[in-house]
Amino acid sequence: MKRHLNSSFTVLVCLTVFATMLVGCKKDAEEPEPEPTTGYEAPEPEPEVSVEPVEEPCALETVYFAFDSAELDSSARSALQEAADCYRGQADPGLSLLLTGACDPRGTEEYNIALGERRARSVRSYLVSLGLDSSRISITSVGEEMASGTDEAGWARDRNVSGSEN
Amino acid sequence: MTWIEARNRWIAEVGIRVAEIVALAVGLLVVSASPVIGQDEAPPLPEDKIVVEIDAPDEDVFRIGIPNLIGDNTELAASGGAILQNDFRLMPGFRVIGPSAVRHDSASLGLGVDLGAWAVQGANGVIKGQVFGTNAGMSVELRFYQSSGGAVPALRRTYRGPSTELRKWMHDFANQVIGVVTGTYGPFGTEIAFARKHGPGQKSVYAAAMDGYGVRRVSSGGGVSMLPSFGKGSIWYTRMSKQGMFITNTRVGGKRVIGGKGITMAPAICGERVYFSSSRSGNYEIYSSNLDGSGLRRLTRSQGIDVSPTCGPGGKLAFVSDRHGSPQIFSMNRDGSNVQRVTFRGNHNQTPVWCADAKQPLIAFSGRDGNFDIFTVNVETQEYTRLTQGQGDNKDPAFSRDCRLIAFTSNRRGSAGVYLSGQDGLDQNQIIDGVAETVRWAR
Repeated sequence: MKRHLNSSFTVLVCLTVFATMLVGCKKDAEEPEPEPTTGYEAPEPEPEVSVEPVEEPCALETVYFAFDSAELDSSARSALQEAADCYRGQADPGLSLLLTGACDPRGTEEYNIALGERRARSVRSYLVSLGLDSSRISITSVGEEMASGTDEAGWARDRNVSGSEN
Repeated sequence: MTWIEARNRWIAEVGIRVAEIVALAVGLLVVSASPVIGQDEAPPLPEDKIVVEIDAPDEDVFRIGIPNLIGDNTELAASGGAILQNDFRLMPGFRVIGPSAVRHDSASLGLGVDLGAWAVQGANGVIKGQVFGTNAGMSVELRFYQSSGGAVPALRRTYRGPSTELRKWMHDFANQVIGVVTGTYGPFGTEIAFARKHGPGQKSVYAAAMDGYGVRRVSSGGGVSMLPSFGKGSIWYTRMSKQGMFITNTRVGGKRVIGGKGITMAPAICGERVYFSSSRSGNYEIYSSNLDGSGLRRLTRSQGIDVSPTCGPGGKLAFVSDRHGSPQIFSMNRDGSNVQRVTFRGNHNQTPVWCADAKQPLIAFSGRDGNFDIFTVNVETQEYTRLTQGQGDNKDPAFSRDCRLIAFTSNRRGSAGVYLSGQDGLDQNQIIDGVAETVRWAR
């Protein structure tokens, strides 16, 4: 994780350098990982390189549901709150989200298609209540067709709404 | 008293069909006291009250002797006999006495029969048959003797044609014998369809004969094809694509026939109209259209999920709605009028299918009671019957055209597949092996 962050940071640095000086940069694949035992922290390569001009892409975390339910629990609400805050803060309002509802395989196919869509609608309503534009959020359902769970833990993962940019 | 009346009386006596008087009373109370919407807690679906032996007593079944057919072409003779034996094995109310039980029925008798020897085995009737000719051109002569009728056959038929017709002939003769014994022609030779999941996002529609013979894929394209239904000489089904879910059929090779905004799914073809559910309004409602998708008409207007329309007799539809808080079976006219709640027991009832015979006002459905199990409800008396007993999930029932058999899918451990059952839950047999869902039966 740390390596990933360092890498992203280096890419940003490179991009900034590229933008301002029109000089190419190499990928940072050779950047050595800091030795954890020494407590050595890599120094900031360039002080005060601003990341403001480059927006972090917003992402909607997949939210999960109880059996036969489309109600959002507190962890789902906070995940959606975070996503909504991010999307609202985006400079580009061109957000277009597709919410896909899914179910565990223990229902009947037709009811689960409908239940999956109800879950997606529930997520959309919450995002709209947090200030997102409903016309930019479409919904669909895959019912239980993508389900892979064979036990309680797997079924819990199957009952979800995931978001993707349209 | 005929054997079948005796059998029914026996069943009634042991209490499988216990009149659900309490259920009826509760049901009426619900109807009269609270016809309007509200969260409800319906009383549970019936437990199996009595341990029933799998085999009914001998006197309550029709024991039918079916020796192998005779003839020079031993391969055709053997397969003809096997088809007949299997049909009567699957048919509730019959018990097959196979060739191994009777060694005396020698070829020297030809199409004649030694009823005395069969009577020792308890046979109420015997089918004899002889195969003539070759694969290219053959004939099969079949006779059905009843022990009450002596040496004069109750039924005799001769079939002629290529050997590829053999299965059809055997099923026809089995149906006619069933007609002689019970008064109603049998269901053999009809087709079933079902969906089979190959993996996440991978499902196809298959068809097979109702005895499980000749399983073949009928849907086109990859991805998810599901929710089959017979109508107008083709099999209709629902396809899930990146462009949404739409209704298609085998005649157009998987191309969109009925689609639109949102999800459009689960067709039932009743007469000249298609009935289906769609989320185009923002909520799942039942719609109907012409066979080409034109002439759209919305039939339900409720806050709940309305799905799974199926054709009933007398211009009725059954469907599922959770407008009262949990999914229950409802009925209505095909124009959307006269909506009535059908199930008042259990809290999760789905996938209704209506017996096509108006004299038997039965709806079979999947009821969740821990797992899913198969139940029927008599829509007039509110009598509930449980057909399966919690071995895995048993769901998606379908009636044969005579309603004597109910097909359903089961994921029971080690033996998932399509099963047949009698109306009372007896005579259960697996006909198709492997993962299967949403079985439907051609009429």
